[in-house]
Amino acid sequence: MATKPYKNSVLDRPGHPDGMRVPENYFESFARDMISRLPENELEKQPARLLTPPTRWQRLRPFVYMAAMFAGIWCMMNMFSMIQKNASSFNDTSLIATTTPAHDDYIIDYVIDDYNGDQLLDELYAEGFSPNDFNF
Amino acid sequence: MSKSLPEDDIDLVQRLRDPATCREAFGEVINRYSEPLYWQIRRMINSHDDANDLLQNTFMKAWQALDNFRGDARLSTWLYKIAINESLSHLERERRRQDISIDDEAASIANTIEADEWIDGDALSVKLRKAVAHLPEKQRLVFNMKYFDEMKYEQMSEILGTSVGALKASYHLAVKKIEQYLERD
Repeated sequence: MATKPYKNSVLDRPGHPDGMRVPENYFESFARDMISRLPENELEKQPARLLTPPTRWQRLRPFVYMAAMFAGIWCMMNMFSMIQKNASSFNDTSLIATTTPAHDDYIIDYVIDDYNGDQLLDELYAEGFSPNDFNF
Repeated sequence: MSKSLPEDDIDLVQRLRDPATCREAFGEVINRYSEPLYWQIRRMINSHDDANDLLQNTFMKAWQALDNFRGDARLSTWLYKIAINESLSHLERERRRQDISIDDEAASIANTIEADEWIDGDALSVKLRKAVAHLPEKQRLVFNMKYFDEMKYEQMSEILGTSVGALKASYHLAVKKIEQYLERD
């Protein structure tokens, strides 16, 4: 062992003795006692957990979760598609509503309101209508 | 796992991480590292009985935390860190128990050195132990690792989390202080 040339001779002693010693066979008996006193640790508890066969639900669970996720996505897409369809049909109705009043028949049939009851009766009498034909 | 790990360390770490082989592998760890760890603790604590207790605590903590050991660092580095933490905690506890400051600790350690039956009668060695006891904790650690264990600065750096440059400076300073102490005493 190469020693450094220290200024003080105490530090320069070969082997750098520290003056400490241990009881005879200390390390052998320490290792033996220590190994025998080791309790079960977390790592050793793992095999017991791994050896337990998984239940049917534990095996199926990932697939069920995945199926539920896809079903959810499918439902969501359907909902969006329905919302979009409704939105477009609403637009069609409003188109009819805005164009229909411009039609002549519609205006005559539903808008013009100068056709009074007397005129209607005159026309009916002219066509041969008699109030006696009806049993009121 | 780090590629810089020694081949036998890689094999040992693999067996330590396997629940089926971890107990047997940890037995190998105890056989391999109990001596260097003991000396590391003993040189900080000085008392054989306390060092024995702290060594047991070190291995017990390592065993309980085995599933957290990822194998990124050297096994020896991990164990040294635990041992040093145990030693420093013990010194702190002792200071509190005896109600002494960190500056008065050297006198207490000197008493321990004189009272310990497992320190031989070599006067020069006892003198050196007392000189080392006067160093601050971190310098004492650096000095013990370099002078007695002849550890490489790179490994010391991994264990202590200090740069190599700072460790070299710390060791140089420690040697100077010890030489001054020895000349004065």
